Amino acid sequence: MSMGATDELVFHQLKKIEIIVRGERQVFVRDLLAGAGLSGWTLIRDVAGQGHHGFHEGRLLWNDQASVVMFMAVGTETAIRRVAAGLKPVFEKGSGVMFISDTHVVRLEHFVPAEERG
Amino acid sequence: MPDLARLAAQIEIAAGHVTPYWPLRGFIAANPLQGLEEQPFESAVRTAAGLFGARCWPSAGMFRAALAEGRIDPAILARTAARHGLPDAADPAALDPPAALPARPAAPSAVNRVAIRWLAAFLDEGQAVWPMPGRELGLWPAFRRIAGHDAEIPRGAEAMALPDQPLPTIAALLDGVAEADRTVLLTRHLAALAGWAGFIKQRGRDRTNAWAQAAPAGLADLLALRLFLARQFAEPVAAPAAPPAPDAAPIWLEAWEETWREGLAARLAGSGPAPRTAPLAQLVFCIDVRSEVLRRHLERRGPWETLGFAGFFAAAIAVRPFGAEAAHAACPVLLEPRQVVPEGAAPGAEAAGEKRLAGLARLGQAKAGLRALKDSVAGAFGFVEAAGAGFGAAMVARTVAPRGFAAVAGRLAARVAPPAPTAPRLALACDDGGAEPTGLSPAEQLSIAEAALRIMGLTSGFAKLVVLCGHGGRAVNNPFAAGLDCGACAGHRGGPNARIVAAILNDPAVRQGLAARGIAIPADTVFLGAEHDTTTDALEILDPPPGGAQAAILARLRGDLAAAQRGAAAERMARLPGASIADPVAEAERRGADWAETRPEWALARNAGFIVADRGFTQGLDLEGRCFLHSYDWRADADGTALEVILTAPMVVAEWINTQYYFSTVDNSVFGAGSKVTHSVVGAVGVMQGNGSDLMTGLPAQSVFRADGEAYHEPLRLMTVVRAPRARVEAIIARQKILRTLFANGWVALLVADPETGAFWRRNRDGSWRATVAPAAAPLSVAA
Repeated sequence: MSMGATDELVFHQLKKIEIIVRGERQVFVRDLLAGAGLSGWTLIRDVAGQGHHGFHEGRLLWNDQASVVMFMAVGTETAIRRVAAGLKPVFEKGSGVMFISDTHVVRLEHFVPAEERG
Repeated sequence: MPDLARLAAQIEIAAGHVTPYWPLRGFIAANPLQGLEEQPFESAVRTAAGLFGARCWPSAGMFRAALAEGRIDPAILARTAARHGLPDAADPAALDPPAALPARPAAPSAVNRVAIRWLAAFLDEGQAVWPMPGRELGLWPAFRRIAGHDAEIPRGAEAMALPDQPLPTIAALLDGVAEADRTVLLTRHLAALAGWAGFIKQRGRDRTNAWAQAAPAGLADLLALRLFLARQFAEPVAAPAAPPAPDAAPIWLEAWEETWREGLAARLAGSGPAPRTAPLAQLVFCIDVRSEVLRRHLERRGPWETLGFAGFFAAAIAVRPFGAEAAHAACPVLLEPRQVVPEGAAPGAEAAGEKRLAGLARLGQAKAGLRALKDSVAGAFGFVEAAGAGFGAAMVARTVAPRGFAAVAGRLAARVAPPAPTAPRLALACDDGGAEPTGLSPAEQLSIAEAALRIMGLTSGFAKLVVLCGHGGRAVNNPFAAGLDCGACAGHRGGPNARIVAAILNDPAVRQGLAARGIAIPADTVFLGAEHDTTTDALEILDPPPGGAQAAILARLRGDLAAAQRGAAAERMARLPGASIADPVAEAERRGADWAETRPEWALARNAGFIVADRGFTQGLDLEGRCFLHSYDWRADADGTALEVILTAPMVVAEWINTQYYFSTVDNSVFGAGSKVTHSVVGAVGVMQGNGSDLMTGLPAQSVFRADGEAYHEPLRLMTVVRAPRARVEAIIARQKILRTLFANGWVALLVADPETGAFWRRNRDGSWRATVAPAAAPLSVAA
């Protein structure tokens, strides 16, 4: 096995957004991601943690709506900005946080539509 | 583009005030002020009064009647008024509204009138003979294409000059509106038709609704439509006039609530645990307040133990009834169904099943044919000529002798489609052509079984027979019939869930798994599914009766159930206006079969308490069908897992029901559904008043009022009673924001009966506790 294989591995820089939000806002976040052109994302259900309103337990056996979920999505800075612009006013009025960071992907075509890749 | 994302956020914030509305086929109670629960009750109702023009406190008349009937204790009223620093508020004169009530508009405004017409057409679910064209495009795009043909809209063709998608349309129509004013404006537009907006919100979230897939609509579509119409009619959206509320109202409400709550606490403190004898059978009923009446009457008659549990029996599933094309959710709407369980012909009854399916198909064709004849312009006349006499005779029969007519109609239907024994198909299967497999894996079955037994606290001491009792109501010609069914089963009958969980609990592999987890069910214990008819208090055993020792127990149980039915029906009929109580069971059956009956039963009216405790804590007390009863064994739940589930799910559902009854009573024309007499069913999803109104989302007047202006339901906020160590309850509240919200904001009160110390504690809104001393000479209402 030649080490040359790793030379083909290119790390493309993109932005990642992590959104922690009440379960009842799932539809809104999904629509927002779709509207920003992000067709793929990861959803982690029943997350727990400490916030401004105290500790939130993740596991609720019979209540999906009061649970807290985390979305994770990766895209160009433009796309992630669109998402953040939609979340900011909602988080100002209610609970929820977002984290934006630099990240790298290998298969760019999975994260950025062809017309934007140029 | 960031602008559109911001606009989407503004719509999302405005939508926070919209309470989802579930269509009538699975009528679900919801707090009409759900979006305001983050606020203290007093400020939430102030906001709601301004938003919906609604009265949010009981009227002066209701308070005065409660005082006159002794339901408000004058001493408690004086004490409450003094504590609030308003001693004069205890004077009934203080209830007179500070200003005249503003008049309500007699008819919808032009924008509302036109919007209602289009919404009714677009959101129709099969009631319309001619469906609106282009619905697959979405509400705004479909409307935009044909708005020019609506003669009532001044310049409807201008819609085509606007973008095809709702968000850019709203952005264009809001041009010139300051950023800071947008959310308020959008909120008012949504609140102006809060019922229709609530339906759009609900169906947008419901991924199982085929109609919503075929005719997609979001609140952005509704806003685009309204903003366009507002411009066409030059009709600004104004906040409705808020009815004035006297300062004394909160004090009187609190005094009313405390009168009932202190009485309940005293009775609970005064009732000793009943002597326990090994029961012959255990019957698990839904927590629904109506179960309490039958449970009490049954327990008096023999060695029967009853328990209370959310009526979906921990099975978060969708059920496809035998012969039905689609599955329906059969779990609380807080949950998304995880799996689909179909019903099939019982093993060995396949031929009978085929015969029934063929019969059901023939009945369906006959109904469709009749409807086509009635709806067709040309056919209607001929139809009346040909069949009018027959239909007239049937009409006379069902009016004069509703029970007899129902029996004859039932026999006829049974001849065409003879009933066949059915059974739930539990095992995982991929053989019915659907995209997803049906049934439950062995691990899922075990998980349901364990959750059900642990949360209800039934982990030992099993009787030979355990009957799981779902429930459903009975009514004809009643668009609100689903409102009588089980809320924990998403507004459906609970029998299927009871059968499914009974079958799971009888499965040897499941029992083996349970034993490995410390729950040993004796080999000779049999679980049976049953259904409690809450209109007649009959209890039907749905599974084939077992043989052996259980057969004898079942025979004795049936006898006692019949006697309990008579007792429970007599008690309930005495509370219904106009009921003949000579033969209470016959009267209850008449109510369930009479097409002119507006009040088949009182359903959950007068609900006021939610008690989480072992039955020994409440046994012997006549709770008058006013309390949800959830079984709980504090000894078997040291870490509070079961209690946490009970408080975050069944209690939340009880709060939705309680607030729906409260608000439907204090302002029936805004939060309720108005009188049934003037209802029009629209789109097969809801009712309007007259020929055009907002979708009426709450309870009809007949469900909460005994007569005009005479409330039967007592609008009291829920009090939860938990029998558990206080520290355990405190720890759960600290973990769960939803509980802090409900208790701290005054939506639900909390009483903890600490079994370790015997003390009763009430939680104050600020999280502190006060001891409630139960008077020793409390009036006891002990069942004979």
